[in-house]
Amino acid sequence: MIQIDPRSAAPIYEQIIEQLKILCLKGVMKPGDKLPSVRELATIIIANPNTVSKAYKELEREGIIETLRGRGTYVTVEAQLKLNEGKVLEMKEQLRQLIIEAHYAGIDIQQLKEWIEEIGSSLEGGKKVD
Amino acid sequence: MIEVRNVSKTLNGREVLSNVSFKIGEGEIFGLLGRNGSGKTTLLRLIQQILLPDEGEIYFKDVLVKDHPLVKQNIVYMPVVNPYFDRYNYGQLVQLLKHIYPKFDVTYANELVNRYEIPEKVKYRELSTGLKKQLSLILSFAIKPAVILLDEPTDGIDAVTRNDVLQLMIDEVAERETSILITSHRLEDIERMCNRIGFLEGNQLTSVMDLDELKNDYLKIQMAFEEDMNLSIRKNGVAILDQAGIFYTALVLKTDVEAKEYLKSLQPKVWHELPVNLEEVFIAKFGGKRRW
Amino acid sequence: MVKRQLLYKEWKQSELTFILVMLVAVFATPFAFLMEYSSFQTCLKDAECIVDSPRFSYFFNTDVFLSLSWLMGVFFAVIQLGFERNKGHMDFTLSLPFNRSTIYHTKFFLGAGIIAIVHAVSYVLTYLLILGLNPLETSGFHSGYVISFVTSLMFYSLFFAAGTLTGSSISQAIVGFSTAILPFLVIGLPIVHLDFILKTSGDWLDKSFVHLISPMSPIIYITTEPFQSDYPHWFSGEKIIIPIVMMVLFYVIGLISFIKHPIERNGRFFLYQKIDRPIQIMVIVFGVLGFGWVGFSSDNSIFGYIAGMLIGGAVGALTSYFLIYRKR
Repeated sequence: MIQIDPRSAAPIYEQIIEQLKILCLKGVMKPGDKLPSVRELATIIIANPNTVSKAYKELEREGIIETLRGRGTYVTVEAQLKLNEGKVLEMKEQLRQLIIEAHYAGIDIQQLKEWIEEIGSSLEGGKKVD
Repeated sequence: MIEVRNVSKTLNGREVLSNVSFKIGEGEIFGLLGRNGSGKTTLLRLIQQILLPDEGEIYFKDVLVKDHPLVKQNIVYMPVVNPYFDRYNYGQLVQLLKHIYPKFDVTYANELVNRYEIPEKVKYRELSTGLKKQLSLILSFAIKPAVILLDEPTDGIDAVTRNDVLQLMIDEVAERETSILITSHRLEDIERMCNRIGFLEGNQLTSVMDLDELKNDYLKIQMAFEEDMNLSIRKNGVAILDQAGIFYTALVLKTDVEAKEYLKSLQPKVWHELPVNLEEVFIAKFGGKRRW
Repeated sequence: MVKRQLLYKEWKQSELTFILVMLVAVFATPFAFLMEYSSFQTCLKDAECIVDSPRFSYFFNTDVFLSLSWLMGVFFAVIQLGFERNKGHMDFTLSLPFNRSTIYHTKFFLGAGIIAIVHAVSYVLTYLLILGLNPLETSGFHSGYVISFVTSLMFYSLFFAAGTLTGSSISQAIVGFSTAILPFLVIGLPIVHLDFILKTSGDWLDKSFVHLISPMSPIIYITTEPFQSDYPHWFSGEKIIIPIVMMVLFYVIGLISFIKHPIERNGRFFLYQKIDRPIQIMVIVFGVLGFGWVGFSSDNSIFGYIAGMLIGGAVGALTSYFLIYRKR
């Protein structure tokens, strides 16, 4: 389900967060699904329980999971929404980077806008065929 | 939980540990790293009062361990090898330890021995290395200590047993907030298991930090130089992880602006900043000087 | 001070050995008594065999167990300390939740307790035999047991203390034995040399040995000499009081040493590095004096004297080097 790589540059708790988010996005974990307890997950992936706990706390802070007293930890109903929100922010940031790099490469905003139109129409065109 | 304060120890004329201080809190897994012979085992033996420090004190929950040996009912030391156990089988070891440690949980020990299928009637010395370590660990946990000192618990054993051993450790920490001090050469296991680590460099304890911090604090820089810059870079105290032809990989602290400026001033043809893992930091700290 | 939990572990550690020794030791004297009785009876029935009196007697001052019981003291001290060091088990013992003085007291209590039990049971069994078989004479029965017990404890204490200064069984045995004969070496050898050099009559020499050196040497208490009634004593309780004092002295020395000792030198001859050199010098000196004495007593000339001393010096230096300084 989740595989962590201790050799990777990303801290383990970040890897856990990323992978759980991906599982939610892909629909493998759906709203209302119960997550393994901190101890269970730590035992499965062989990581420090505190690290898992840290990841869960962060996910809870972002509203993706919630802990119900005495019952366990579940994926929230709004998880999908929050993830999408997160995705949206991420894409906006990527766009910003792209615009900056384009600028350095000598491509101005106008040129980019033209390209967006161009790509947009070709995609729409493809859609119309469906 | 455990506090080591200004501990120094000289063995055979060599000062093995000099002014070492650190603390371990509840439920924390602390990794002690260092080259062979750097004093890791000596430090563990000092905490357990097998050796007596030349200077400094060791506290358990703010109580001086030396004056209150009873607190050692809460501290268990698992050495690399335990010749004392050799002659006994599981049942006999349980009897022995039960008498010494009042909190020994026989049911728990039996449960674990069954779960990991450890033969109960075989003498300790006849078990394989992996089973020896597993059994030692089970007995140590059955004592229900607050702190457990593990010397190379996963070194030299097969992958399956190693998984079992690590899972057992995780269970303990998750369930009972046991503090664990672990020394190992298996950096991968350290990276998985530890909250914090410390390096025994020379005879001092340095770079005590969160593992997450370590990955965030250090930076790997890949550069390419036309001329041989090896000597000059190392003369300036920058660690070189690797050199292949014209490509150099250096390790610096992210906050070390000077080092970065210096490297940039050498006008490298390539400059890539990459994150690091524990093995790279270890090699840079201890082997960087040998990079000829 | 003595902890029950630790006692269990200490007993279990050498259980088999203790039981075997106890069985042999407890039954030794009763068995010897019975054997003597039975051979006496056989002799009575045999016309060719001559007996001193129509009734059987047993002399406890020649009893094997009572004269050799001190070996128990030596043996127990070595298995409780020296063996543990040799096998690398002392680490485990020191890692347990007991302070070093508790460990010392408990180990000693176990060894001393076994020695006491052995003597007590042997005494009772033999006493029953005496009641039952009604011998004519049982000289030295009570005093024999008391002295044997005290001597065993004293040797136990001596070798136990040696075990807190040394890093292996062999060195423990050597140091224990050397201390047992120490007054002979430290006082005896020099005065013998003095006598030779100054050519005195030698009368004062004998007196010194008998009245000063022997009573001070632990080794003398294993022979039966001091137990004979015509032996010149300092005072009436000498044969018991001196060993008891020695036992207490060794116990205290051992306790202090055990608490402070640096275990990291396990395996070396001495645990305290600072003793190495002074002892080596002492061994060389004893070698010189000892072989020198052999030298001049054999041919009574200055040549033998010097040759002896040279050989002794060499022997002392080599022995001490190989024992003390070579790492095992």
